[in-house]
Amino acid sequence: MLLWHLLRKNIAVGQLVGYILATLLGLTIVLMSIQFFTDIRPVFSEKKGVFARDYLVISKKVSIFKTLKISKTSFSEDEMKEISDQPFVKRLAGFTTATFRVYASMAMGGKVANLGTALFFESVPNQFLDIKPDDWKWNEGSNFIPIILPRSYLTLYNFGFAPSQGLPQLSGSMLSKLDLTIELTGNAKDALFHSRIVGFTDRINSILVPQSFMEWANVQFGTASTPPSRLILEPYNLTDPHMGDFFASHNYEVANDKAAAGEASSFLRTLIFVVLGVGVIITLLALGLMLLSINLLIQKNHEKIENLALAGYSSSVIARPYQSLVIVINSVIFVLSFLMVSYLRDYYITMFSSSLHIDDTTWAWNNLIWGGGIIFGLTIVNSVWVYLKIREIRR
Amino acid sequence: MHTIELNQVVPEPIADIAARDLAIWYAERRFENGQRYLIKSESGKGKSSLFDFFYGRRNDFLGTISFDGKSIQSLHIKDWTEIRQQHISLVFQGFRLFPELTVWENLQLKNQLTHYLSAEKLTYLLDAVGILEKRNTALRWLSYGQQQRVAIVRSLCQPFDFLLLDEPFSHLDALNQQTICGLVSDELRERGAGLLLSSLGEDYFFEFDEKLAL
Repeated sequence: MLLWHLLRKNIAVGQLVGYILATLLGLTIVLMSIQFFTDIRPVFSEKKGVFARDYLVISKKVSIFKTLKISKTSFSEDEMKEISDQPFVKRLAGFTTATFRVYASMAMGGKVANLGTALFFESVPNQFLDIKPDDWKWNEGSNFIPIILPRSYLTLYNFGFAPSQGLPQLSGSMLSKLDLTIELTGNAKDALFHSRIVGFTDRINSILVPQSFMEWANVQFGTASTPPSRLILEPYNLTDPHMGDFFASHNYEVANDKAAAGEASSFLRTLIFVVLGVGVIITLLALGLMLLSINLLIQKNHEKIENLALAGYSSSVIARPYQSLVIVINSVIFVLSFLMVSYLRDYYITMFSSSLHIDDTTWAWNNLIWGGGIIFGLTIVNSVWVYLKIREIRR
Repeated sequence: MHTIELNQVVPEPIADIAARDLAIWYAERRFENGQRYLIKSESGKGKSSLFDFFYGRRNDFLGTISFDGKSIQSLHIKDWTEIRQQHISLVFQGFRLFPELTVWENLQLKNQLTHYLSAEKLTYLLDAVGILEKRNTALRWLSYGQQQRVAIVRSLCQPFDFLLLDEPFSHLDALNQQTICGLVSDELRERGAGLLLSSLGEDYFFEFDEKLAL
């Protein structure tokens, strides 16, 4: 107590307040960025919605030569290898096209209704799908084929076709309840299958069936393997500029509905990291301010500290009052910053509730760990600094 | 700590001008606890420097100083802290008290390190040197003579093997000198401790075992 009474003289309250405000600002920005990133990460990585993971569908440009079948629109194995060897490609797969005829008719109430259409099927490996419906499986001997439709078809029907034809608009779940009968024809064989629409995709603009079924059916009713004419590609980074150059130079066409969303997502990510960086810089500057302020304080109390040392006080005992002060101040900053982050989080959750779904029940505990870690680090640096400066005076 | 030994010691700044034929510089010299030494010289001959070497404040000397045979060049900061708490007590010429604290707080600040003296003993000592009524006065309001007495009382607020007094009575009258010498002598006898007193010439009221010229 006596020591504190002696050493608290010359403490510049203004500098301490400056340190508190600056660190509070820096730490709050850092923790806010971490919290925000944690909160919207599920939105980023979710496979549907605005920030769906980004895939590209590549095809060759259809030209008059291709119509006349002088050059091919399909990708050879060499071409596929060349693409998958590009550094921006994470995964690549070809669309498998049905090489048989498909006729679908709608069965209602157990009877085959007089409502049918010729269709086509394609398939891609399961890991490229943005949805995983429960019924999405097929094995040999099964009489049921699950189908995935592009959501855009449903939109097209509901808002384009149905109103003009006086047909009722259908929801996805209603459509999923329809039983379809599929007739496959080819190789002088035919077969009937039950089918249902099990899901709608935002990613792939095609009528999809399971890859395993497709491989089996192509052998049974078509020509076993045809080279794919469309490829699906998952890049490491959608905004990689080399990608555009590569496709342009090879005359490939890229269908990419999600590019804008992908850019938005990567922009938002970058923005969060920039803000995080600013927070870290402010925190470091505040630390610098505190270190300078400690220097000044210890210089002002130089004589007292020297006299204490001469009276037989060890450096660590002399340092203790200042270190306690640092601990108290940093703890206050931590608590305040935590309260501010909680408040701001409530604020942005309300603000974004219409556009993004944020799970506000899961508080990011790693935030506490980060905040605690940063404050702990600051306290250690400050305390060690105090000790070293005091030791410097002793001799 | 029983002995302080000097072997060919001289402060670097006066290495060229220090006399080689006297008792301390460039000599073999041994101080034992329980003995009382008077170190006499004009000013500027290095009396305070000698005490500073013994107290670990300076180490710009040539030769070897040893405590119980161990060279003090090998001591670390924490060793000096222990020596200043337990083995050597020094009254500085400049006192090195804390002007913003009261007399009592100044004494407590030293005493709380080892809790060597009881509050009663402290009160007795203050009374004996005649500044008990200044007990709760901030030190900066005291005269030099009064501050000097506080510094001497403070030097007793710890265990020690050697008490070093650096021209301790410069601001005190003969009557006060006599009282304090008596008090300090009693303490030294009680603790079996040695005394090194530097003086410009006077012997004051101590019985010295050895008088050394510097």
